[in-house]
Amino acid sequence: MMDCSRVEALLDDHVDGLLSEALAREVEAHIGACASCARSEAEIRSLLRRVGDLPRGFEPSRDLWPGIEEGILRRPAGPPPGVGAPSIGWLAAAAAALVILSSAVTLWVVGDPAPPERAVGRPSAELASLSASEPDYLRARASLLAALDDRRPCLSPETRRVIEENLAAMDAALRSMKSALEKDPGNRGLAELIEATYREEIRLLLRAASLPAHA
Amino acid sequence: MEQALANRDDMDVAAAREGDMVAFERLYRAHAGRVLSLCARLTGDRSGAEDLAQETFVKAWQGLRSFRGESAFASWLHRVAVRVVLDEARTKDRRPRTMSLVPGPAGAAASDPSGAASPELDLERAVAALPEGARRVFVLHDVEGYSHEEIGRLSGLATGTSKAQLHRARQLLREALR
Amino acid sequence: MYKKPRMIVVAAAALLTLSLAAQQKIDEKRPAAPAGLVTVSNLSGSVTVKGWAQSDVAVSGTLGKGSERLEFEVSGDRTTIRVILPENARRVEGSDLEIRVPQASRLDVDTVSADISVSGLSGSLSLQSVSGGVSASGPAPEVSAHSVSGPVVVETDSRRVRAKSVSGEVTVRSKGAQEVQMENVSGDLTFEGALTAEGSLEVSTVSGRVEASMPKDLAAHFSLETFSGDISSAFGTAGKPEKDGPVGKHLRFNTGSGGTRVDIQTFSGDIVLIGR
Repeated sequence: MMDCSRVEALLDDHVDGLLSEALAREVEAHIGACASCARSEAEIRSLLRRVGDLPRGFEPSRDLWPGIEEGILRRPAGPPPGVGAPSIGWLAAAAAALVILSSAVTLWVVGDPAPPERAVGRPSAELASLSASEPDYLRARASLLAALDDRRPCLSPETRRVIEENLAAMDAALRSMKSALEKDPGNRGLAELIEATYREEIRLLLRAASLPAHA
Repeated sequence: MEQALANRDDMDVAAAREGDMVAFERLYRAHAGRVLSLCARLTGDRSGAEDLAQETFVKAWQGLRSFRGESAFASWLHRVAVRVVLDEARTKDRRPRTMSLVPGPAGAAASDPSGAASPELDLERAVAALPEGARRVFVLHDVEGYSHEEIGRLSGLATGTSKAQLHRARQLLREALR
Repeated sequence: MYKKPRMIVVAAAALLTLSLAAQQKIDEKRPAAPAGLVTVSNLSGSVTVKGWAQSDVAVSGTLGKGSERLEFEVSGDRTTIRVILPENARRVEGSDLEIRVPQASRLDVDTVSADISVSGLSGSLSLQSVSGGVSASGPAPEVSAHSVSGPVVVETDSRRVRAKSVSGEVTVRSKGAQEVQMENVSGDLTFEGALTAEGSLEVSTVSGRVEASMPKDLAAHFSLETFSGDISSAFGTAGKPEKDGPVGKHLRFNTGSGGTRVDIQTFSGDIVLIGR
C-alpha cells in the first residue's frame, strides 16, 4: 500500500485523470482505506466543482470598443503586404496614415506644457508637424476614395449621395479649420477638432469601403 | 451549440480579415466577457484587466491574417489574451493586488448591499490572492481548461513545474476556503 | 473547467426561404438567454427593438421584395438576426423588422439606411447606421449611437452615452448620466437633463449649434470654447472670456464646488447654456 505523502502528491493528477490505470487503482485503494486522504480528494473535487460554478465572463465596467477602435486605427493592421499574405493595400495605408497623423497632432497638443495661456509667438514648428503628416493622410484618403469608386456602382444612389455629401462637408470643415489654425497656431482646441474630423473622415471611408453590395 | 456559434464567428472573422471593422466589433461584443474574465483572473486585478482586454482585441485584429481557422476563433483569441497578459507582466513590475470588486458577472453578487459574501466571490478573491505563478497555472488549468503541455507552450513552464504550481494553488485554495 | 452553462438554449438555425418576387411577412420566435447578446443587421427599411419579460426573441414584420432570406439564429447566449440580400439583385426593397427581446439583453444593431428604434432594454446598446436615424430609450446602462447623416436621439437612463453623427442632429436627454459625449460636424446638438455629481458632458462639433439645458443650481466646472461662434450662458458670471489667440473665445469657470464637468468645443457653432 502507498503511504499518505505519496498519495497526496498524486492526488491532483488523479483527480485530473492523468494517472496510469495501475497507479490510479493504487491511489483509489488507499483513499478507500484512509479518511484523511479521502478528505483531501473530496476537497479537491469540491474546489473544482466550485470553479465550474464561476461565471464564464465578466461584464466590462465600460464599453471597451472605442479604445479598441482607437488602438486599431493607431497601428497598421496585420503583416506588411506581399509576404504571401493577401495585400491589405489601402486599409493598411489608411491606418498607417492615421497613425502618423494622430501621433503628430496628439503629440503636439499633449506635448504642450499645462498652463493654458500660451505665447502668441509660438514657433511654427508645431504647425509644420501637422502638415508633415498631411501628405500621408491625403494619400490614404485618395486610395480609400479610389476603393470607394470601385464600389460605387454597387451602392445604392442614396448611400452614395450620403457618403459623398458628408465627405464634402468634412472637407469643407477641415479647410476652414486649417486656415483658422494658421491664424492661431497655438489653439489646442482647434487642433483637437481638426484631428477628430480627420479621424471621422477615415472612419467613414473605411465603413463605406466595407459596405456590402446594394447598401 | 458550439458549432453554430463557431459558424457565426467564422463569417465575422472572414469579413474582419478583409478589414471590416463592423464585423470585428461584433466579434468583440460576443467574446469580450470571456476575454475580460480570463485577463482579470490571470492577473488578480479586475480594473487593470480591462486595458489588457482592449490590448487583446487590438492584437487579435493585427494578427487576424495569421489565423487560418485551425481552431475555433474563441480558442485562438484566448491564447492571444494569455500572451498579452504574460507579455505585459514581463515588462512591468507587478505588486500583489486584491481583486477590486467592480461589478463583474452580470447581475453580480458584488453589488449585493447586504455585504453578504457569496461562495463565488470568496473563490474569486482567494484566487486573486494566490502567488502569481500558482494563480496563473490554476486559472489556465482549472478555470480555462488548458493542459499542462499547453500551459508549457504558452508560458515556457516545464510540465513538472506547471503541475507543482497547480498542486500549490489547490492546496492554498483549499486552506483559504475551509 | 467550466461546466456547460445552466441555461442552454439551442435551436437549429431555421432559414425562411422566400421567393424573390414579393414582400413576405415574418413571424418567428425562438427561446433565448435572458441577458444575452442580440445582433441585428438590416440594410434598409427599419429596425424596431423592444424589451419584454418573455424569455424569447420574436421577429415580425416584412421582408422586402428582392431579399433572399431572413437569418434568425440562436446559439448559446447569442442571437443573430440578419436580412440577407442576394449577390446580384438590382432592386431590393427595405425590410421592416419588429423585434422583441428579453429585456436584459445587450443589443448591437447595424444598418445602412434603415432607421433604428430601441426601447425597454436594460442591457448595453451599440447602434449604428449610415443614413438611418437612431433613437434609443429605456434603462440601458451604456449607449453608443452613431449615424453618419441620420438624427441621433438618446433618451435613456444610462451611466454612459456616446452619441455621434457627421451631419445629423444629436439629441441626448439624461436623468443622471455619468458620462455623456456628443459629437458631430454639423447639425444641432441638444442636451437636456442632469449629470451625476462627478459626471461629465463633452460636446464637440464644427458648425453645429450646441444647446444644453441643465438644472439652474448645477455645480460644475465649465469649459466653453468656440473659434467663431457665440457663447451665451445662463451659468457663471457673464463675460470675462479668456482669449487664447487672435480669434476665438474660451470661457472657463466654476459654479459652486463643481465636481461635474461641462466641456463644449465648436469651431463656428454657437453655444447656448440654459438653466431650468
